[in-house]
Amino acid sequence: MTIKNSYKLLVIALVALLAYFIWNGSEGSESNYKTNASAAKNEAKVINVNKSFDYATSGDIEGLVNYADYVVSGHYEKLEKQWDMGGGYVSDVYSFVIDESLNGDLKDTISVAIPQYVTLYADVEGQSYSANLDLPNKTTPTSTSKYILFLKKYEPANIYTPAAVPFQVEISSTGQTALIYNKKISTLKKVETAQKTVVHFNLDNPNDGLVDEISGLSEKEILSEITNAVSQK
Amino acid sequence: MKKGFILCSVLTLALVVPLSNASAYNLLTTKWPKTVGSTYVVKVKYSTIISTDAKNAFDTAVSDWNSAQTKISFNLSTSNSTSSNVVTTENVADQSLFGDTLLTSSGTTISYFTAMINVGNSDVINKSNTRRSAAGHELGHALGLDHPPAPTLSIMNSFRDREVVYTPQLDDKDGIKAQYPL
Repeated sequence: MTIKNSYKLLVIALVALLAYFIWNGSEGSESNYKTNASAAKNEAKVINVNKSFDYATSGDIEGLVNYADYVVSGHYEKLEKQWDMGGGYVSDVYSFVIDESLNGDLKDTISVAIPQYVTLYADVEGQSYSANLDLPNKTTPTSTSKYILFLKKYEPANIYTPAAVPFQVEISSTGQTALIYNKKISTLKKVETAQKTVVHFNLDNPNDGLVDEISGLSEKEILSEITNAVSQK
Repeated sequence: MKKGFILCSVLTLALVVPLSNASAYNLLTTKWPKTVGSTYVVKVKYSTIISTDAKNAFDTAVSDWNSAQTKISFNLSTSNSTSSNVVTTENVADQSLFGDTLLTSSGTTISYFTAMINVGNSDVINKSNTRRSAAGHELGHALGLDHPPAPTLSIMNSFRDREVVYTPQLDDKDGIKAQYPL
């Protein structure tokens, strides 16, 4: 290809790029918007109640170790109770038998809270309406799997809670590993009032953009990464 | 001819390079009804239960947002007693939770919000930068910003180090400009 032909091609590319930018500019930055067409259509009759979180979040070992005061491996024994964590947050508390303490000095059996749901409220037309929505760490442990947990202690209740979202690595009886969390958090719940107003209760998903760099590693690799991260903490 | 070729190459690169560094912010579906040209002012009150530390954190976070951009500003004052917008604390035992915001809206227009930082979290209690970061994050939601993807340097990033990132960053300011372009 000659310089002359390259020059022509570049001019064409430049014109095409300019046309692209002009075209997109005229439409605004719609790609960044998460539109809710149904809400807009029923604007007068729909009330949206949306909760957005600020959770500690990480998809890699180093991040989880940095958030956690304690890292333990072991297995869940039994469901102890349901626990009102305050602010409308409710968890299931399990007894957890520690096989090995990977960071910190925990041993024997501890109580671990797995957050399950949060209750959202809205006062509409003089009435109070509510809905329970599943939280991002909601999971149900199995008795046949081994788990590695990244924890912090809630001192007033002597219960260990997640240090982050997610906070559990499950190691199945066949040796498969997975970072586990609730991947279906964006559950919209609709409640209709006596006046036919529809209340949309919704949670903003804090796991958007989570890159899972743990699932699929071998148990040995995970333990090695934890040891390294703890030593650098 | 050679000069023209070089000029065209430089121009093309100048257009393509910013495209690859495009902003990563995400926007909520709801926003304030800002009108063209003027700064939209959101009046906010303190809850009656708010602690001094939390009050200071929200005061600083409001100042951070107000000085970061001119599209929309918070007026946080004890004199806004009739406002439905509230900053407050919650006491949740979950140590992974730093705060949350409840936004109530009609259609795509925000009606009012409650922004909370979690004083059940020991880091929120013990670390002032973390407290400020959590307050700033919640006020960002109150402005209509969502969480950006993981690697973004942003106060809205759930993956951020809260002791390091506690003021609105360039991506956050870009998000505000996109949410309120006029």
